[in-house]
Amino acid sequence: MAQLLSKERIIARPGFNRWLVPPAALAIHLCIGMAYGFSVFWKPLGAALIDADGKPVPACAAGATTFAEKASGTLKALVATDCNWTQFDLGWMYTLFFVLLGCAAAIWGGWLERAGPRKAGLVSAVCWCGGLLISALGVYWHQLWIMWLGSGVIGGIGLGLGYISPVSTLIKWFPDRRGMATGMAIMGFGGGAMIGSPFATLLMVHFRTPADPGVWETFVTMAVVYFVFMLGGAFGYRVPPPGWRPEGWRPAARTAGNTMITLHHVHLKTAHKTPQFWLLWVLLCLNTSAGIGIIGAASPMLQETFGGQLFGRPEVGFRQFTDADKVAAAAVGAGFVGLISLFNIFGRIGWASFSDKLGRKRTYITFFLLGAVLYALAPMAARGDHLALFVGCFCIIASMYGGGFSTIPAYLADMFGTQFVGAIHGRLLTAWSTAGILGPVVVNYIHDTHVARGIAPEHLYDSIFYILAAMLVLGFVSNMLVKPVAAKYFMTAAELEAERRLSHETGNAK
Amino acid sequence: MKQETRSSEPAQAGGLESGPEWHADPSSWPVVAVSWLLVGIPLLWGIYKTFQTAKVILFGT
Repeated sequence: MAQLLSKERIIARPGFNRWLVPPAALAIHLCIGMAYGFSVFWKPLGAALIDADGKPVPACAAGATTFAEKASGTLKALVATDCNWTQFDLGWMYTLFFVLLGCAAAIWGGWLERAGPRKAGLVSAVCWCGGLLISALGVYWHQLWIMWLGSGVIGGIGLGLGYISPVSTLIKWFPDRRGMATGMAIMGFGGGAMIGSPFATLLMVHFRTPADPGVWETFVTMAVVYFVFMLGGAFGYRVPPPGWRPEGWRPAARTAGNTMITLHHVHLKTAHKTPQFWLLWVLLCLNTSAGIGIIGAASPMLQETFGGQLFGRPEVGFRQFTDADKVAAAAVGAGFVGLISLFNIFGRIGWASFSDKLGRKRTYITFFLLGAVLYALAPMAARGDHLALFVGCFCIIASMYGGGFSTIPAYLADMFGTQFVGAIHGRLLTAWSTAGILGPVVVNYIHDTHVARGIAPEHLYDSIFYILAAMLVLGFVSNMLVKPVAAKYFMTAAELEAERRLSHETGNAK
Repeated sequence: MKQETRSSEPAQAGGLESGPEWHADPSSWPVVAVSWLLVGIPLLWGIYKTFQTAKVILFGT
């Protein structure tokens, strides 16, 4: 078994087709990307326990209004078996997902580079799918802590390993199209929820009974299906032999006159000592923070800002919504979320591929400048009741949010070389974990403060947009400060050779 | 001295100039097509389902 998973075993034979590697990466990313779609379980889980009359029993945090009261309710929900879970209790899963993703990628990225993508892909499958099975037990026994431990912690580790598993392999197979190659895989992470959410809904409809919402059965089925797909992906990985290059491609021609693409390599242990690592960390954190909070609040933001205009009755304000209005507005809000998701995933492949032509630094300049302009434009679009312009602004912002994720591995490879790019990328993903807390906190805190001050719904987000635009301006400054890595940080030829021996990359192609 | 080694050996350090250049086996393309279909079909289904939701805001229906 150990032999089957070893890195030597997956060195490609002559004639291997490199276009087999992106679907293997996609198979893994499409499965772990379901993390984004977990909210599809919140409503059924919120009504999992029913009383003798067939009505949901009260939530553990019933009546809680302040954060402290809700948090206290969550503590009770962790072990209680006689009360339902709220969205607040379940929402912590997202925090666990993205914090664990970043931590796992940072901690085990170095191991992955030496162990190879197949072993990492397998461990990721075991963690992600095993986590789903443990969560199924948590739902079956109605124990929230087991669900958090299963999908949140163990699954989160699987997310981190799965996310970075194909990065350095793809960059080595596609030195001529680094952005496109990693963009394809990372597009899968964005697309995972698009498949997983409707798939989970279908399964829950199939399994549900009057006494059971069908969630644990859905978790078990998804774990099995995802495990098969992820195993297929892990066993589909091949690494190129050292020095492999695409037919007719010359690295010197690619890098001629472009000092922003190095032919050298920076060791994982050295990367974080360079200013470039931290500038890219700040850049990713700010680009993600500026997008993640708004994407998470997209539906209520549209409803609060445009009110009855969403369903052809502009005279009706958000606070005057009847129940029927709420349903109509929610349908438009859901459509907006869907549209944003489409731009998010196509932005991942589109912007990353475009960066192969434009250059990484210029691509991020575009993200930051265009993003800041669009955020500044959004309040004006809202004031002028220009719904189409407002929606257009956020679609482009969503595409650049996705593009920020998919272009960063290629930016790292250009700066630090390809030897440790997967592991360095893993460490950089702690910026994502930070943004996963920072972005929503900024948006939700300011929103709630404005609501408490009685600001009109259509103006709740104005200052939030300006703050997010300012974040993007800071990101722009960080990007402008990125210069080529100093020669003192590069590995010597002897160090590189030693590292390749350790990584089992010195054998001839089999 | 170390500095000189680093800056004067980009080819070896990059490990890209001296490696083999090979052609993909032509018989591998059907396998490539099947692999892409296996991941492409679920992805297209997901995009279609999302587009159905997004239709409300695109076309008002």
